[in-house]
Amino acid sequence: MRRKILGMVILLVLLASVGAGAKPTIRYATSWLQRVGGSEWEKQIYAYADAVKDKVTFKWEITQGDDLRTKIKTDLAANNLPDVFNYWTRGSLKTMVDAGKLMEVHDYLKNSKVVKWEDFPFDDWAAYSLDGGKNVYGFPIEGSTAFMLANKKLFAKYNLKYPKTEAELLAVSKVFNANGIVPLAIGSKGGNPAHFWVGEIFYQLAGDAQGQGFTNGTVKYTTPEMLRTAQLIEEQRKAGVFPKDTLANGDFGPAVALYNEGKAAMIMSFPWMISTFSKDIVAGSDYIYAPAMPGAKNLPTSFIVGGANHGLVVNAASYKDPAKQAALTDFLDFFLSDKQMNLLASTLGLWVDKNMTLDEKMLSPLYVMTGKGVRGKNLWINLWTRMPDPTTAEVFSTAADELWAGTITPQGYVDEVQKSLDDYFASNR
Amino acid sequence: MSLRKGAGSFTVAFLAPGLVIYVAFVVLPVALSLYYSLTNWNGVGPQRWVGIHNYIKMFSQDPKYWTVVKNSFFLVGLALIVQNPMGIFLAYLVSRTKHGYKLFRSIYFLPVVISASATAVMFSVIFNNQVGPFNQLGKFLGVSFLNVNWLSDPATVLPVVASVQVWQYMGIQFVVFLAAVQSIPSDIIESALLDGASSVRMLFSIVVPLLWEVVQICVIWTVTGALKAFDHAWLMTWGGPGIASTYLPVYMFRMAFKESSFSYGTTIAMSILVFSLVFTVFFKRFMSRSTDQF
Repeated sequence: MRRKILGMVILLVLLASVGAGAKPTIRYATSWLQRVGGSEWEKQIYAYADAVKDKVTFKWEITQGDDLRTKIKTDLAANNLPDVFNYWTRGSLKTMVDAGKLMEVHDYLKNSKVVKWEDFPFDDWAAYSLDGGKNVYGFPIEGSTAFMLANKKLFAKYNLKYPKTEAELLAVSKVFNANGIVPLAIGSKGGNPAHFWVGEIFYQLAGDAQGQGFTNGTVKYTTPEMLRTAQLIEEQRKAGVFPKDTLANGDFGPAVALYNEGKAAMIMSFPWMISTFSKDIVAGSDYIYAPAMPGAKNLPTSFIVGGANHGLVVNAASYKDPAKQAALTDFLDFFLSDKQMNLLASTLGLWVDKNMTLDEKMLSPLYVMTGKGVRGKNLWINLWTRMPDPTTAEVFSTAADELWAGTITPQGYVDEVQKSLDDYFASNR
Repeated sequence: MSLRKGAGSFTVAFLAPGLVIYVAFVVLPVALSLYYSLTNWNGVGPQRWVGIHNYIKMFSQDPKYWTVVKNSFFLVGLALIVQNPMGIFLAYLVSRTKHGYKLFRSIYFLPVVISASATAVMFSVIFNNQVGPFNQLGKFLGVSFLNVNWLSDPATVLPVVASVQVWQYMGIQFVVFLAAVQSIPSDIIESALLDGASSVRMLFSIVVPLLWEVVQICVIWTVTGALKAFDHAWLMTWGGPGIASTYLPVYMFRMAFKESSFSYGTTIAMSILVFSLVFTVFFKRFMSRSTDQF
């Protein structure tokens, strides 16, 4: 009797496993779900999964912010990479690309009935490439376009004009500091959002070509322009341009919190934070450009720091799996459709890189304001994305924390980053 | 007394599950970590054997490592100086309280049950120079020495981050010592009182000697716990600015998960294990004495 029962149990388990194997499971790891809880984009994702549940089971692995990077690295080390996941661009991908873990996009594009190569700008495809765009390992969805806002009321209250030069920036900072207002809400925690300000000043002094040289080692980080950038930042720190406690007020969220509360006069922020700005503060803000630094070769009104920063990548082994390929192709067709891109922009505020016209009626006022401000400007890639691998990106970030906190000299800052780049190029020749 | 026939397999059957779990979740990870520390591995692809190269790098070529060790030892020192003495003192006071015993016990243990994340975020706001109540109070009272960038100034960030951790977990030592104090036979206390012993004399001459084995355990917990500290430093400052508030586990995390140097990260993890083991062995060897008996 016992043997019969045992036999039946084993048979049932086998049947269940066979049944389960017939329908693939797709694991999607992301930081976009639950970012704005109950958003229409999110509802559409779940509705899609529900509509195809007879053919494929979706498993959502949701991790917010930079913790998604940690989660993916852990999964990678455990040989348990999700089937499809959001990830960052360029140097961040290096270890996965070198190990052949990521699908090359043309494998999908030849199967897709919806998405074409021309749907995304080449420069954005190149963000997911390590060889100048020959082989591309991800879909560039989100841009990191930096924008600056000024609080109209605060400037009017102290009878100040928006600073157009660094001297004016230092002058208005003096007034704001005397009245307990943070002039410019840029702190640094894990390099955020400070490295964008580094990029802004550096590009004014040097231009995009030098920045490109950091990635392939043809330009040293210790260039006079980068040293001058660090010196200007130190000057601004001493003048109280930034929050006093740069670490506690660092990272993207605390900066917006300061600005939303009317405790900061200006802010540099980014598309993924658009949904966190209050309606009142947006209505009371003007879009401004960074002030021109002394010796600037490129006017701040001529370029924007940004570039494709985040998007979707696919596990190469998953796409090669015949059981999963059709399901992944269909999911990507849905995910990368114009309708979903519109929803990403309107509900999450993401700066969508796809070649398409967004429905402005769906977009937030801040999104529209930023769109007008960046129109026609050169787009120069943020320096964090220019770092060739995760190690150099990490050193670049922590060095920014030290520069903002005043615990490192400008020379020490450029030397620290250069050392990390030297170590990288020495071991990757 | 010999085991009955079949008792051996009965014993094994009951010990086996625990042993299997212990091997799977403790012994195996430690052994794998040791192996990874002897390789060059970025978390993907094959591990390349490099022998003790990572250890040589850690001990002699990485100046940041020794700064991080110093930070961890600072936390250990602060925890030892504050948590255990305060734990015994508060436990002694509370045990002698006639009214409000349960209230005080709950108050002192409450910080322990709050999540470390919530505590870290809360104190990040409290110590925020721009908006935190600590600095606002200083401005209100006109006290300039409170106007400090607590979390950005390398001179203050480590003491602040360490203090938050020490404060939060002091309740653990407190409840352990409270239970131990309450287990001291009441006739010993009464005899001491009859002999005219003051409260202070009773604490140092009777209570502490009687609790010596408990003190040893709490000291080992404190040291090993401090050596594993991660949450507060990471959530408040990410170990920054630079490595000013980085402990060994934070450094290990940054190496493994931020810089994708898994082998170097596990090398640091092994050093944490070695520090903990060395301390435990030496402490038990040189500080161990039998608890006084009355």
